[in-house]
Amino acid sequence: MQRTHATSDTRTAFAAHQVSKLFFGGDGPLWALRDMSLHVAGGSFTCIVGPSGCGKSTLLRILAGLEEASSGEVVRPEDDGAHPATAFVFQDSGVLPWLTVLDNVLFGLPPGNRRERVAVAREWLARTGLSGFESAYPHQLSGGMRQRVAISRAFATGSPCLLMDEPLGALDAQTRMLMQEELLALCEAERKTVVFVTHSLEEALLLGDRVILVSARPGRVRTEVEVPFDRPRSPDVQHHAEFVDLRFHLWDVLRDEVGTERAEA
Amino acid sequence: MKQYVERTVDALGEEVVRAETRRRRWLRRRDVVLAVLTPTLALLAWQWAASVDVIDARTFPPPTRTLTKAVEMIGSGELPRDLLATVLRLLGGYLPAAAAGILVGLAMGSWRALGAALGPLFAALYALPKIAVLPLLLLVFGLGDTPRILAVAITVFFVTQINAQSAVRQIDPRTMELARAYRVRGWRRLCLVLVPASLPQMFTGLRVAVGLGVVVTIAVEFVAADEGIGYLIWNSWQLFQPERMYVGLMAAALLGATLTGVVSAFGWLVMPWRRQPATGRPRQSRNGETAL
Repeated sequence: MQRTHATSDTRTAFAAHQVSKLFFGGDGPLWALRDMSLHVAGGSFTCIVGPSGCGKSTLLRILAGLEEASSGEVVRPEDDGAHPATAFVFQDSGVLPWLTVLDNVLFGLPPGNRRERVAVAREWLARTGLSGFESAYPHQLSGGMRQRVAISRAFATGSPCLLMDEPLGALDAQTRMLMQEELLALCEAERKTVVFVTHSLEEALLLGDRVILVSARPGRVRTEVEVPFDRPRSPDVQHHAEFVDLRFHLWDVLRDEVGTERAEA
Repeated sequence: MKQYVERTVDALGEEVVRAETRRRRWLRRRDVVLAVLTPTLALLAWQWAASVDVIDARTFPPPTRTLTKAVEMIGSGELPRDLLATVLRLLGGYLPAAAAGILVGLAMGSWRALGAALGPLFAALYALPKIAVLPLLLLVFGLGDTPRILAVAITVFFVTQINAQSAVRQIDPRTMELARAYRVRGWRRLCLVLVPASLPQMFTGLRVAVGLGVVVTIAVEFVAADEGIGYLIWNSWQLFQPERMYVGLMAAALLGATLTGVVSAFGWLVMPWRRQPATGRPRQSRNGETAL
């Protein structure tokens, strides 16, 4: 069974030791994760990439406490009085269609003084360029704007840790590039602990301090890369020779994993 | 649909927007005209057929005679009295039963054990034709308004309950996960997630229940009442007064349509996010606060 600890070491935000997760699907039990170990330092930006279905989202949800590991040990921060310890950004379905933009952000804030909560929500909507859309409903917004609402909510909670599950995955390529730049600026301004799951190697290298590549199912850490670029980082790092090299190196490893996946399927 | 996108609207753009608005307005008006035209033509055909004896005017009196009769019955107070009796019975059963059905349905949808304990029993009772229970109700409660109102209430309760329960069960698990991720629990979860997510299907239940409620009220009044629209229709048959019977039928139809419309309007009121604005112009506002 899973054992859970609160973070005691201030430099460790999250840790997973020998975490496994068994799913009970239609075709019988299936290991989504097998003996996965991971350590996330406080204030770091960790990107997790891997082939589809490798369990990277499952890992993130276990770190968030949304799902229980079948076995292994998980360390995660605990809520303090004022702020939840972690805020989660989902790929889609992160905004509730029946709440206005403002109420969607307020949804994430602990109940309390209404005026203060509204002020915080408005501030974050302004920082993501959504001022003036407070009373709009999500169906009136573009996909990019909906995702900005979800991101505003996560930041507005004031949580020191953000867990993002392919937050830009459902966006078109151009919107995605714009939002990568916005996200880069926001995260560098706030210096939070971020664990970011993505399909895109470029996105991982652009945003992260570290990229962890997860193997095909059952997922475990395949390889790990430190991203050498200084912060504040400009989107131009994507043209550096080093960036291109790293990208190719990661793709080399990932290609094998995607290949295994296809051979099995 | 209204979309908030950045754009500049120049003169040509304005013209295109105006043309599109005109086109949509024309389509809406055409739909209204067609909706009114069809029944009007049908009534005119009936009037003509009855007046030239294509159909038997004794059993199918021309609409004008029914209308005259209706005016006369309104003047004499007969129709308002019967209508009021039916409406009071219907609402007396509908309102408490709908409220109870929604509460029980929400509870059964939220707590798996409760749903498992009561679900199959309720499904079986739902399938039972409610009018068949009337003799039992008359046996237990005697010849008052209580058994009639109860027959309506039972009908309404099961329809709203089953819809509310299945609405909760069908909420996207990802939505529930979002609530969990942001520690939205208890009362806040009920108000911000469970109820709004279930509202569309709950209102489907409420609309169906109104229709069924009218059916059961009238059926109950056939056999066990001395006033009400059902009594009016039944009594007209016994006395062979076809015009009076058509007045009763018309009143029943109008009652059903009106109440269904009221429920729909109420749904429009409480689900602002489902309203589709008519024009394509973006609208911004400075103050985006709503309740909760």
